[in-house]
Amino acid sequence: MDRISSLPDDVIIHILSFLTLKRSAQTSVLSKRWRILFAFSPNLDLLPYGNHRSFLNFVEERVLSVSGNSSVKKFTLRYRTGTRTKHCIRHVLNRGGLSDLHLSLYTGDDGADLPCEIFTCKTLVELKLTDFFIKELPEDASLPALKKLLLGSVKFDSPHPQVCAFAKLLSACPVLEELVLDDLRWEQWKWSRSLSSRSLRRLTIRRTNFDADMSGLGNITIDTPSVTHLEYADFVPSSYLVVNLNSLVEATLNTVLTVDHLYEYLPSSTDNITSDPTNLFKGMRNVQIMNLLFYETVEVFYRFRGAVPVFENLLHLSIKTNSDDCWRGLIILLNHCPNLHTLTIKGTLHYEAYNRSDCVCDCLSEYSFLMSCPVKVLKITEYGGTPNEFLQLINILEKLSGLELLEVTTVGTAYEKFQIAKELQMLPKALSKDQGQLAHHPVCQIQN
Amino acid sequence: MSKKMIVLKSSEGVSFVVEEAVARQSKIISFLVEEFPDRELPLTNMTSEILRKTIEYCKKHVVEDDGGGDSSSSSSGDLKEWDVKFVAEIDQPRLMDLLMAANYLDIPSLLDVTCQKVADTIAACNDEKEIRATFNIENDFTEEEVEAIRMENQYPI
Repeated sequence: MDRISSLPDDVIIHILSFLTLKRSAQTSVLSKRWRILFAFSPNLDLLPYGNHRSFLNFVEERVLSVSGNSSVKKFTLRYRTGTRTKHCIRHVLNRGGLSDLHLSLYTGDDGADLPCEIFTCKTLVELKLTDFFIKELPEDASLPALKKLLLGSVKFDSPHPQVCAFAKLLSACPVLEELVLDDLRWEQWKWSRSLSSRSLRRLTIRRTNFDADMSGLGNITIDTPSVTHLEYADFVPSSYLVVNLNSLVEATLNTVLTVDHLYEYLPSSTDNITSDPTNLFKGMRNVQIMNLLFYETVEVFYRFRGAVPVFENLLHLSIKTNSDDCWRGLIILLNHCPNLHTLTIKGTLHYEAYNRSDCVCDCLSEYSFLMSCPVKVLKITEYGGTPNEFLQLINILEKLSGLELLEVTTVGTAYEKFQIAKELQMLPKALSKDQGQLAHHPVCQIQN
Repeated sequence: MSKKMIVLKSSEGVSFVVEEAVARQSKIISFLVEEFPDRELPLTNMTSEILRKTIEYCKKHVVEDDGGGDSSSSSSGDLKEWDVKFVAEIDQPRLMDLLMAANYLDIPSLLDVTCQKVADTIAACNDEKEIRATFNIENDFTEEEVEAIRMENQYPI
């Protein structure tokens, strides 16, 4: 017999476990040796195809019934719900040893087709659920090995207000390390509005659709004292009751405010702002790295400038801005970061007033906020080299007395980049001419 | 402190002196050195060439903990890249030898890397005829049998 066919069954099955089921099923026609081996793969990735009935027939008759009781480690099913689907999931769970379960099922209005055994599985390490409506968890819900929980477009509801299915799920996971919540629309749930976990290390809350009414969002509690990494893109609720993020190392924020419970890009001071990030700011005060990827989040710090705590530990701040985005939010932040080491401007320097190119924005008029700024490294990711930009760069560098390194990424054609690089090499001269008292000049690194 | 060395002997009788920590990535060797310390281990079904390859892999993947921390000699991203290159350079007969060596010596990560490479080769084939040709698999089905299986397995599109 050929080399590959003479391998032991478990080795061939191991090879097949690296293939999608569609591919591995193809090997059943190679020879009699290969006839049924694909069905024993511990890694079943089931994608639906055209004819629903024949897909389930295949899964039931050609895969699950063939492989008997051999355990499945990873099970992925993207399909619509129904009694047979439920039976299929239950069957895999009952075999024991399941560690990763990914389900993306298209349900109707009720989530009755999600087998409740999922929530009592002792071996699950990773669980990903997409498109579900979870009303109730079993009394004995317990996922003692679960480390990673990913919920996408999952809706929770509670038949009785005092029993919150979402809170119950989290409390059933004593060793949970990572929680990813994608587009949960929790403003529509009936729930305790409390996200609480002692063990959680990484928390991701992401909303992609900001076109919604937030009047149901309420007051939110985030009690996750072990979280070190937070990614948070959502509306700021009307208040945070409790925010415990005492171990926070890195936060990436895209939090936005509401006006009359609706999305509003850069609300004005006369608007009825229905969001309050005060306790979130306070809860984040230990953070070491902060990334603000949307300008409107930088503005939130200006709007609630009275609530910004001193970020004693903040070493690296990264903000997204355009040339005409006012820096008043950044100024508030810099005034509250006494130990900042690196400032990254993701985008261009601010050198234009909004809708005007002939003058500099009021926020920069004195640059005095930079005098006390301890930043040692300044990075600018988009530098186009216009005269205004160059002038602005010199203005800023003159005030940043502690700066050691300026890292600039130039944009434009190859020729433009060459010209910009030449100009930037003149920086030290330009600086020493205008400002003799700089103790030392920053090193300028140019990246194309 | 000098590092503890052990001797592995190939089917041709060639001796390879290896650091114990390197060889212990094989669960079998790890077991054997505990049972039979101070003995050279004959690996009668492994050629010198394959044994040398296996040792090369284990040397790259050894976790050095004498530096105080649990630091591997390379970062995990670099290691992955190295693995891909490592198996890309091997022709198919030797890949099968290496896969069997990984299975025999029980080195899970090497088994994963070699099985992944075989799986990639299968996935790159257009149809079962090409898979058979690539691995010299003899078709012992009749045309009718192949058609029957194809009908029952028609998964998907």
